[in-house]
Amino acid sequence: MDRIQSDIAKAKGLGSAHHGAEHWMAQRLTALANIPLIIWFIYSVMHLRGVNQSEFVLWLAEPVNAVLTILLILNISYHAVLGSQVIVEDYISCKVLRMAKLIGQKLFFIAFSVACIFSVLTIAL
Amino acid sequence: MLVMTTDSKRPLSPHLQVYRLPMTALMSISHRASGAVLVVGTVMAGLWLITAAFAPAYFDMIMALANTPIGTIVMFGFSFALYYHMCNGIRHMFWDLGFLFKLKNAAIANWVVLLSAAALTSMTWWCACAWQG
Repeated sequence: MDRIQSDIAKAKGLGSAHHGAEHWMAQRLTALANIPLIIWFIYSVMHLRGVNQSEFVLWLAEPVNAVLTILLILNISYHAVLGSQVIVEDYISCKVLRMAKLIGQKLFFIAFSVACIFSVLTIAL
Repeated sequence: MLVMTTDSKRPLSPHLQVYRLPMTALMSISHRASGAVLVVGTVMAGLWLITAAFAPAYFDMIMALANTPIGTIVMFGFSFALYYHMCNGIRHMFWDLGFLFKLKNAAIANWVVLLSAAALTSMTWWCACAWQG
């Protein structure tokens, strides 16, 4: 991540958060990847309107749909962790509460994405 | 940590309560707000997915709820938040590349983002209704 840090930033050493440049870059990369994934997702949901569970399972069992859904889950979860981290850092001034929220939402999104991916695999495999 | 002292005679900066935010600032805070809305929407979509694998009866219940008037309003709001966040996110990428910083260009971009999000939302719902027959 040296390339996107300025010379003065390198000379002064790391900022207070120690990982600002990576956070910034990861947020942009996941945002970029989200654009095609979200367009595909909306298009799919439009077609999935009114389906029952067995019709949905047939759709998700298609390899292309399963792979894209897993990519979407990973990408959105990562982007959501980065975004909600900034919100908590900006508005919660109590250090203990802030740390608890930051840890809590990271663990939540890991559990959430693993549960979602496991569901996709259960249906698709 | 900055400490505010009440005995200071120095003028205060305008507070949010009395300061009318310019449109660019409103668009900026809306980006964050829509992001927060999308986190809630993502968790709901995730539950939908999980029920498809492990609780088929709940899946059908969620589908029925989504088709009620309130469910449709929620889905409509979610789709607009999604398109708004996407369009404004693309504007953020232009900012990252050094474009759209002039006041006039930023003001035009406000409306481009807002109208694009509105157009995409309308188009999506128009198609969704047409496809359903």
